[in-house]
Amino acid sequence: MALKDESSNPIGVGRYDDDGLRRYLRQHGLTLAPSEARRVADLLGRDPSLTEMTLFDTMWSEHCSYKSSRPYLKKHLPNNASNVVIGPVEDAGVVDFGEIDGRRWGIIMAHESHNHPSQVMPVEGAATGIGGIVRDVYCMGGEVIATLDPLRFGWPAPESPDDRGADHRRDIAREVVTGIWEYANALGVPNLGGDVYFHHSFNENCLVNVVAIGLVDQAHITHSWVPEAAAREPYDLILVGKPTDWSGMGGAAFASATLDAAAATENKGSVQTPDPFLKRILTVANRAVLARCREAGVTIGFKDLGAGGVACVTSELCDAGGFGCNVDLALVHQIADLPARVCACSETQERYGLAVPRRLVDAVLKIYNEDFALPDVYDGACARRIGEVTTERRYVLRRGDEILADAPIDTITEGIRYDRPLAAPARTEVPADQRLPEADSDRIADEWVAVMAHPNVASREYLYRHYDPEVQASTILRPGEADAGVVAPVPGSRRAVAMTCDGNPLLGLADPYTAGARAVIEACRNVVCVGGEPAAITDCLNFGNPEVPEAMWTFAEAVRGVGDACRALGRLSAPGEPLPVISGNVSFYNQSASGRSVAPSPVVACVGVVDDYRRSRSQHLKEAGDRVYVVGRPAPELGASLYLDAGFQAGRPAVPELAFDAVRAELGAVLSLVRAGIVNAVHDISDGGLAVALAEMAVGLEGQQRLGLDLTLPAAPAELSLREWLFNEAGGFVLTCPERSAGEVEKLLSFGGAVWWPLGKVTADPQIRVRGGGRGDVAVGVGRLADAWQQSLPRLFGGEAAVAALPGTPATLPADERRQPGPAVLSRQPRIAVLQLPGVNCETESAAAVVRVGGQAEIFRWTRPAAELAAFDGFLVPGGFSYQDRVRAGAVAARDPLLEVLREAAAGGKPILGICNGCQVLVESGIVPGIEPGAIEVGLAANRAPGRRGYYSRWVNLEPVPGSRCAFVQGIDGSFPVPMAHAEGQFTHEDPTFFLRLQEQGLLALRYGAFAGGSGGNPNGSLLDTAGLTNPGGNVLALMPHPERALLLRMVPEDLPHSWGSLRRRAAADAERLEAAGPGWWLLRRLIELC
Amino acid sequence: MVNQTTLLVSHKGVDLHAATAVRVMQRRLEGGEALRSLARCEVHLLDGDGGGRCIADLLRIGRYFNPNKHHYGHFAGVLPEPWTDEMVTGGAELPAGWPGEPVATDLPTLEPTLATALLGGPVPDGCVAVDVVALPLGEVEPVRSGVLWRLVLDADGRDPARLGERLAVARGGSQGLLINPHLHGWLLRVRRP
Repeated sequence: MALKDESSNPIGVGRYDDDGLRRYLRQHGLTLAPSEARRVADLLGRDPSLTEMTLFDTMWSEHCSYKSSRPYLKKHLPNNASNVVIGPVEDAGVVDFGEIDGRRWGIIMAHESHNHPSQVMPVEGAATGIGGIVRDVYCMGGEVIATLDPLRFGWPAPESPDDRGADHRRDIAREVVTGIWEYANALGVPNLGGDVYFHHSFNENCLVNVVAIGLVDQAHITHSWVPEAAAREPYDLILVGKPTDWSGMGGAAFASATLDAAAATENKGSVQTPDPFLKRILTVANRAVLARCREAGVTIGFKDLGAGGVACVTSELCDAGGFGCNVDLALVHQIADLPARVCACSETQERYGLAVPRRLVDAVLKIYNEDFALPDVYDGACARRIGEVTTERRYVLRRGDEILADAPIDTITEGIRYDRPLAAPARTEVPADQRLPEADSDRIADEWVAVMAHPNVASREYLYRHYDPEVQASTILRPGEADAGVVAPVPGSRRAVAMTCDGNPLLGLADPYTAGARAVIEACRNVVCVGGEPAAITDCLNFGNPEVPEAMWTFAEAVRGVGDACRALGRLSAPGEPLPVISGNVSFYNQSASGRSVAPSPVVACVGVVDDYRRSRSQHLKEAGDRVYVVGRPAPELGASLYLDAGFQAGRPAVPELAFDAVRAELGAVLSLVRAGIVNAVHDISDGGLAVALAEMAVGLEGQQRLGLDLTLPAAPAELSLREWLFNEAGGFVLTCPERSAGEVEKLLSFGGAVWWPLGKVTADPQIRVRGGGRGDVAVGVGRLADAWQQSLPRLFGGEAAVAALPGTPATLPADERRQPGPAVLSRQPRIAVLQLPGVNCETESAAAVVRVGGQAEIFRWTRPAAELAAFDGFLVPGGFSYQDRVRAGAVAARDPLLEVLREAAAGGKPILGICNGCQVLVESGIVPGIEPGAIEVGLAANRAPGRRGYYSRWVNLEPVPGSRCAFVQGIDGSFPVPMAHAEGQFTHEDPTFFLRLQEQGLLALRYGAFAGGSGGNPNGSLLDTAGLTNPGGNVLALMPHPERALLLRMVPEDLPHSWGSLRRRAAADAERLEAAGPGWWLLRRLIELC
Repeated sequence: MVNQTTLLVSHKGVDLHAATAVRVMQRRLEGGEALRSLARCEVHLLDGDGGGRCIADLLRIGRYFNPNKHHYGHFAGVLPEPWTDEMVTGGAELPAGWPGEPVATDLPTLEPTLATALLGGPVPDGCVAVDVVALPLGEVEPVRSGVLWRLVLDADGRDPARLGERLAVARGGSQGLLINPHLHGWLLRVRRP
C-alpha cells in the first residue's frame, strides 16, 4: 500500500501570485507555467489536485501536446495519399504494402527522439528510446522488422588546446551506441540503417532519434482506442509489464525543457530504466494475447505506456474511443510506498495498457501471468485489471475510495496551443560570384582524401558493427552495403521494404527550408537506389527553444521544406498524390542552459516498396568494364558542403537551389533502371559530392575487393571547375551497368527526362582517375581513399590499435571452393524442439530453418514441463539474449531444469545444435565439451579485439577442424561463410593449452579462418580460433556464428570476398538460385539427418 | 607492498544483474536457500602511485561513473602484492582492509563504512557477508575492471567461506553462478557484522 501522500491535496491556485505558484510547481517537479496552471483550474472549475496538476503537466508538455508545433505540422505536412492506411493519428502510421497470397499487408512507421535522456544517461536514454518506439509498432498489432538510428553527437576531437570535453563527447557517442545495441540486439530487431553527424552544436545536446519499421496484416491492425463494442458489453482496463516505480517521473516535461548540465543529477528520475529482456518476453506474450483475442472474435484497444504513464494511457485509450473510465491505482502493481501521483504518471518502461471485454480478462491475465510467467521473470511484473471503461465521458482516477482526479476526459487529452512568434535570424551576405578556382592534381587528390577522412563522411562501420542487422533472417541489404536497408519480411514473397533516414545539420544551419526539403529528397534517392518506390515518410524535427522567435522560425521553415518536397516529388506511381507523412515527432528545447542551441535538424525517414528484392543490389562496383553514369545536374554552390566544413577554400557560399521537377524525373528514371535489373550498382550523391560517391563505390566495406574508375567529366556545365564538379552537393546518382546494357540504360534515362552524362568505365586497377574535360585531371589510389575513409572513426574512437586491426583486402576473388556434401535421404521428418528460453530472439527463424531443411519444428517454451522435452528427436538452442546475458551470457539459462533434459539427451546421442546464445548456454551447462559430465570446463569471455569492445557483428569464414569428432561437420571440405553477432564469444580457459588438448581429443568442431586477402580471421580472440565445440559423442555442436542466417544463398552479401559471395553476385537475378541452399544450410540439415 | 586505488560503482536503482542472479541462485543452486541477498558493485583498480589523480580524471569525464545512475566510492589502500592473473586464478583471499580508506564519494558523507553503503547497507543480524571480487583473466587495460559481489548468507552453522565460494564459483549446472573460473580470477573474504 502506498503511504498517505499529497497526491489528492487540492492546489489553491488562486492563493499564489505567479512567482509563488511557479515556486510551488517547481517544488513538486512540475514545469507548467503559472498561466497554464491557472487554466487547468479554470477548465475544472475548481482547484485541481496535485495528481490532476501532474497529469496536466504531462499532457500539456510540448512533448505530448505539440502545443507550439501542431499548426505548422497540420498546415505543411501532407498525409492524403491513397496508400495511407493510418495517418498521423495513432502511435504509428501505416502505409500499404500490397497484397501477398490473399493477405493485405501494411508497413508501420514510428519515429521518436530521446535526446535529453541520452545526453544525461546515454546508455539508458538511447535504450529506452528504442524501447519506446518499438512499443508504438507492437501496439498496432505488428511486428518490428527493423530500426534505424539517426544520431548527432558533439565534435569528437578537441576543438582547441584547452578543450577537455572531447573525451566526454566521445564517451556519449560510445554509450549511446552501446545503449542501442544492448537494447535492440537483445530484443531481436535488426538495425538496418541510420546516420551519424558530428558537430559542435551538439556538444552539450546530442540528438538520438530512432525509427521503427513494422509489418502488419491490415486485417489485424490493433488500434489505440477502446473499440465501439464497449458500448454494448463491459470492457476492463488491463495494465501489463513492469511494476510501476519512480523511474521516468516527469519524463515528458523533462523532454520539454532546456537541458541544464548542472542539474543533471536532478534529472535522474526523468530517465527511464530499460529492460529489453522483459520487453522481449512481453513481445512474445503480446502475440499470444492478440491471437487469443482474434480467435475469440473480439476487438481490443492496445496502447503502450510512454509519457504520462497509467494516467495518460487510460485517458487516451478511452477518450479516443469516445468513452470514459474509472481507474483504481490501488490495483496497479507498483513498488512499495509509491505516491499516488507518481503511480499515475511515472514513465516506468516495459508496460502496455489494454482495453479488453470483461469476458476475456481472465484468459488474457492467464497468458501473461502463467503461460509466460511474468512474475517469475521480473520481481513484481505481471498483468492486472486496473479499472473499467465507462460510457460516461469522465476520467476518474482513484486509490481505493480516495478520488485523485475527476474531470471531463477530453479536457485532459485535448492539450493546449500556442502561436509562437517567428523571426528570421540575421544573415551575413556573401558575394555571390565567389568561385573555387582550378588547382593542380596533387592538391585536389589531397583534398579528396581529407574529405574522406572527415568525421561526417568517414565510414561508420566501426559504429554500426555493434548492431545486429540480420536477426529475423530476412535481411537483404545491410548497413554499409547500399544507401538503404532492405528486408523481405513476408516469408515466401520477393516483395521487400527499403528504408533509410536523412538530414544534414550543416544545411540546417545554412538554410532550414532547404534542409527539410533536401532530407526528403535524399531519403527518396536512397530508397530508389535499391529499387524501392518511396511510399511514405516520417519526420523527427529537432530544434531549439520554441519560445525564442529565431529558433521557432527555423522550425517553421524546415517543416515548410519537408512539406513542399513531399508534394513536389509526390508518389512516383500515383501522379498528383503527395508523398505522405504518416507519423513523426517534434523535439524542442534542444538547447543547453548556456543558450547554445543545436543545429536545426529535421530528420526524415522514408520507406519504399521493392517489388522484387532480386533487383536490390549493393552500391559497390561489380565488374571491370562496367559503364559509369552520373545522373543529376551539378551546381557551383558549395555552401554547407562537407568540402567547406573540412576547412578548404570556400567556393560560392550559397546552398544549391532546389529543383523538384528535375529530382522527380531522376527518381523515376533511376527507379525504372533498377527495377529493370539492368544496373549493377547505384549510389546517391550527397555529403562530399560526386567525389565521395565514387570513392565509396570503389572502396566498399572492410575487407572487400576494390576496383577502380577511369572517368571523364562532360564539358558541360562549362562554368564548373573540377573541384566544384567533384565536391558540390546538389545531389544525384552514380550508376554502373554492364556494357551490354548501356543502350537500354541510356534510353531509359532519356525517356524519363533525367539529366545524365556518361562518365567512363570501371577498371580492375584500384585507382580513380578523373579527367576534367579541359579542367585538369586528378588521380588517386583507391587504397589511399580507403585508408582515409575506413581509419578515421576507428582512430578517433579506438586508437591506433583499432586501425591496425582493420582487415586487409583481396586483390582477386578466390576460385570456387564450395564443397559441402549433398543431403542424405530421410526416412521420416524428425521432430526438433527449438528451445524458447526467456530472452532468446532467434527461435522463429531457427524453427523456420529446421522446416526448410526437412524437419518438423516446435518452439518449446520454458514454462512447459521439462519432461515433455525428452520426447523430441533433436534439439536446437537458438540465439538471442537469454536473461539479457545478465551475470554472464548463458549462465542463468544454463541453470534451467530444461538443461537437465538436454544433458541426458546429449549423453544418449540425440543431436543438439546450440547457436550463439544457445552455444553459450551449452558451455555454461557443461554439455560441451562434456569431458567430465556436468562440469563447466571452458568459458566464453567478452570479445577481445584491438581497439574495440562489446557486441560485434560481421560475416566470418568457418573451417572444419581436422580430426573433429563432430558429426555436424563431417564431409565439409573447405571453408564457408556465416555471420557472427555476439558480445561474449571468446572461447577461453585459464590454461591456454587446454584447447590443444580439446583439439587432440577431436572436440573442436569449427574454427575461424581468414577470407581471401587475409581479411577477417579470428574476430573475438578465441583460443585456437575456435568458433564451435562438440562433445565426446560428436552429436552436439555449440557454435557461436549463425548458420540459420546463411541458410539460403540470398542471405549472403554479394560483395563477400569468398566464392559464396561470387556465387551470390552471379545469381543476383535468378530467383531459383537465390532461394537455393546457402553456406549455413548444411549444419541445419545435419541436425535433421542425425536424428 | 603496492598502492592500490579502487573505484567502486553501484547502481542507484535496481541492479538487474544482481536481481536476476539472486533469484536463480536461491532457486536452483545447492546451498541457495542460505542466500539472503546479493549486491553488486563494478570495481575499477589502479596499481601504483598516481591512481587518485587518475580516478579523479575518470570521474570528471564520466568514464565508469554516471551521476544519474550510479553512486561511487573512491578508496586508497595498500596491498601486500599486486593482483596478477597468476595470483587470482583459482581464487585468493581478499585482504582484510580492502578496499582501503575512503577518499571521495557522491554520497552525502564520507563514512568509513562507505563500501558497505554502496553494497546495500549493513548486514542483518544473524547473517554474514561474503565479498567476492571477480576479475576477468587476461585483461591488459591500464585500469583493471571487475565486479565485487556481496553475498549475504544465513549460513546456519556452515562455513560461510566455503558456502560463499560454492555459490559464487560456477563449476557445474547446479553449483555456483557468478564466476566462471575459466574466465575469471577471484578474491574472497567473509565479513562478519
